[in-house]
Amino acid sequence: MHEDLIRQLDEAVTEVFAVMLNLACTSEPAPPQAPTVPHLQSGLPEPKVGDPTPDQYFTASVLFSGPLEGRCCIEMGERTATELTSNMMGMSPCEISPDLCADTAGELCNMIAGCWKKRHPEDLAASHLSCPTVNLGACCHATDAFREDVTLLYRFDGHELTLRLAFN
Amino acid sequence: MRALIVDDSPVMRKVVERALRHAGIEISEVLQAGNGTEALEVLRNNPAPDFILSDISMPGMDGLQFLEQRRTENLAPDAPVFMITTESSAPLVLRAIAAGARGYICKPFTPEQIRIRIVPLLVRSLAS
Repeated sequence: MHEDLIRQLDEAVTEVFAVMLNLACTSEPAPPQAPTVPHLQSGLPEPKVGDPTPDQYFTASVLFSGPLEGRCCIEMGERTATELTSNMMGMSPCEISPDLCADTAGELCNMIAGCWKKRHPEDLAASHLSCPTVNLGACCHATDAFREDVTLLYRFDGHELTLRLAFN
Repeated sequence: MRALIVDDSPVMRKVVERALRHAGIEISEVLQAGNGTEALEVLRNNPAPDFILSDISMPGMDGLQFLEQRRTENLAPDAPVFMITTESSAPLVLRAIAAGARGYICKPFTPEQIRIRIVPLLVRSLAS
């Protein structure tokens, strides 16, 4: 079941990235309860007083309801969100605002959840998807408990995002 | 051609507009709305668009409610409506068709999918 879940998630993310962004990505397991502050997640040196403010993090979530109950969540830094937004909208990165980054994170989360859901039999695929919500900060690793729970790290073009899918 | 794009996401409205242009559809004006209520206002206050692309799941009035109210008020009755959404379950597609949608495109989508699904219906609509 867990291997199937990871395969389905990889297929969903690959489809969304290829179709909407023309990007290829690779995945790897993210350690449970991985630290999500930027310097710990990316292996960068810990910031010191006087360093520039670390990247803002965007966390987007959609909820499943109905036959499937759960949550799909993606988390990315500002640099990654800016790159993805610039790619999707065909605009220069300097034209991208934090609001557009948040919007992109929500839409990508929504599409990934939808792509994953449609890989299920019709009765489960009929589960409802909520509108995406986006929070500032890294909070994919929430404490809510579900029977199935997987967290993966996706890498592409020097960027990364964390994806968590949890459901009953 | 004039298009109305209804989506709560400004990013997706831009993505859809780009996809229409990449699909070879000549767009002279793009009207935009963030949900069904705004879309109805656009239709009441502007010349009818040639076609409408609408998301389903939106805060406030959703895409299906928009379709039903548009029909009740007989707004832009000749403009075909295409749904663009991540929700692809058969019951939802049937509800959209019953409410007056002429086509259904699932996100993620390519410009080619837009061209294949929309252009033939637009040609037929303009011819009639």
